[in-house]
Amino acid sequence: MKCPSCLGTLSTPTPQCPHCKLTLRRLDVKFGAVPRHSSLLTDRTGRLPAREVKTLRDLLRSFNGKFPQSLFSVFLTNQLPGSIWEYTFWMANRGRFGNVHTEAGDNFDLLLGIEVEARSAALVIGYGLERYLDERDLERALAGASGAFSVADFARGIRICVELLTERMKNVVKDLEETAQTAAAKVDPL
Amino acid sequence: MCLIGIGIVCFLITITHGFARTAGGMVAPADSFPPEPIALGWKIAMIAVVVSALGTGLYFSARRWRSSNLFDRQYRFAPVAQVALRLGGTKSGGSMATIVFVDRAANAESLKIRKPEETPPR
Repeated sequence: MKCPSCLGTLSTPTPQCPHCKLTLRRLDVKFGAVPRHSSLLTDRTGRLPAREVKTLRDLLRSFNGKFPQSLFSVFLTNQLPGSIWEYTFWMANRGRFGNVHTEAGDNFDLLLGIEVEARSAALVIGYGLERYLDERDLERALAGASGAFSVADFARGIRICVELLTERMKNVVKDLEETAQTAAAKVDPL
Repeated sequence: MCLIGIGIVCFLITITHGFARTAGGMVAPADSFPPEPIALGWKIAMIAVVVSALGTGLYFSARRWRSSNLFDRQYRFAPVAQVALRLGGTKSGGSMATIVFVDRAANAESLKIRKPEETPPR
């Protein structure tokens, strides 16, 4: 687990980062009011064509159809007073993307933040998904999208990222179901 | 959509059957003349209208079905009972991946611009 500000390792659950003293309240001061955003896709840069926005919203809606507990949201922005890592972490907690009451272990949401001019992106998951996805899964999804992001094809990058995570999450659930079935068969051989 | 297409076809059939054109270009009720057969062009136009109406309907329905995951299964996770909150975040504790991507488009453009200058003279 990393601090979204200094990217230092957080070995134990802590109310503030032991390296840079970051807290969510500090980010509230840094970023101010939560900007207007939609639940699925927000493009504050105007880089995505309207047609792509529609297609991506369909894709994100389809993701939510497959994983009813999870909402995958995407945020494109520019000129932040901090890094996109801090901003995405802050937005994941302060934004109203999905159900506002899904907190702690009930939060299975994902948020992809892209800062277009700084050419950086962050992918954050809710507490509920931490048991099922690790940071390597998220890194793989971002690495898959990096080629498209590098040529400023953000729509394709977002699509790749969503598709890679969809496959990974499907496999995680299937593996868990298989394990549960095997365990049940061992307990009750009949 | 389908109903609109059928409605248009019925309307066109009514028009073409209800009236006939006289030699002078005047329109007269069909009762005074035997009904003329529908022209091939009209038939093709009607079929085209119906097909395009059906196609449009199917396209939007397919999009809606796809995004609403109608024919695929749903995947659910077991909720996590106890979570130790981090950094004051109640929804996410900052479990994340980060990336800085190189702007290849800008790099390629700058290389193109620089290339003639950088070519050493023979």
